[in-house]
Amino acid sequence: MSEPRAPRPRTSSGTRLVLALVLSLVVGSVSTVAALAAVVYHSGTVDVEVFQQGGEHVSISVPSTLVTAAVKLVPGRVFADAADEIGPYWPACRAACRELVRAPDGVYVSVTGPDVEVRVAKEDDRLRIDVQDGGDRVHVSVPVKSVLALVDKLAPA
Amino acid sequence: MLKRSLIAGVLLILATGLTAASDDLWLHVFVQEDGESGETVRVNVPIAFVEQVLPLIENEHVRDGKVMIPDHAELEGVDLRGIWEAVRDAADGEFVTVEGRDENVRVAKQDGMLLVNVDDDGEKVRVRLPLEVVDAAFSGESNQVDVVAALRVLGETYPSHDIVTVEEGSTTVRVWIDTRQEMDL
Repeated sequence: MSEPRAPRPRTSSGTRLVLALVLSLVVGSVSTVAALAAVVYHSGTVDVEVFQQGGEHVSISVPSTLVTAAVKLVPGRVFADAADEIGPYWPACRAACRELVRAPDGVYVSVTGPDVEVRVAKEDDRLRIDVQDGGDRVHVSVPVKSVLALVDKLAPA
Repeated sequence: MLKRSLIAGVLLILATGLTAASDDLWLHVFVQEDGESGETVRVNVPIAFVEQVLPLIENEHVRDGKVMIPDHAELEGVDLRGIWEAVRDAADGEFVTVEGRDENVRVAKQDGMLLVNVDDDGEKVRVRLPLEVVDAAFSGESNQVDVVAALRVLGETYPSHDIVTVEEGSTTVRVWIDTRQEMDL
């Protein structure tokens, strides 16, 4: 005959409540992080890389949702000068960005020379700009929808 | 009834095809400089993109997709649209010939095309446009060139040759349209 099991220690209702709260917090945090990761994964990142010959190498990669949110939160006066400059061309810029969202992937502009190489392309809903001038290189890759958000911010007052 | 439906269906398919064709066309610009420091530039833009963006550019020379012809003394009193209408309605032939020491200009109409050849001190410009395109370009007021309308018709007529070529010294420029996104040189 087997021995009778030792009775499990009983948890008080207060402990159970705390456990439930902790569990909820953990599940909530994990879900939030997972949801954020999914959003970042789907929206992509804004990547900027700068290589200077014999100099610095700067590499920035920021979730585009963060950039879009930041652009929306920045007060309009910060963009005032740029908005003034773009002024009369803003409708055309905005239309160009909207068309770019709809436009198919491909290389739109390329310049090749003995010391210079420029490439502007749309690939996987991202605008990619690569410039190589001598030993210096710049690479920018940004979701086209983020470009549209930035252009919207430059709307004339 | 069936016959009418069939005709309507065929017309609908043709219209859709025409729109799709215009939407799928690409304007290409190719610039090549020969020599050691020569650069090659390739620009590929959907015609639909240009049609949407151009009307929104506004400055003293461009408005609503139309280029304003400036009031030069040389053009004072010249009705460009009137001249064009006369050329369009005339039979094929050469309409303008200028022969100078350094410059030769020839404007002709041939097989539904307007041909403009300019040879100026080593620079060679060749323009070859369907008449419908020029017609659309001059469809507005007499001092305007409607670029958007011309592009739209260009997309519909879809010429399979270079529209503009320029050769100047070691530089060559080609402008054409086709259905390919990337250049097929």
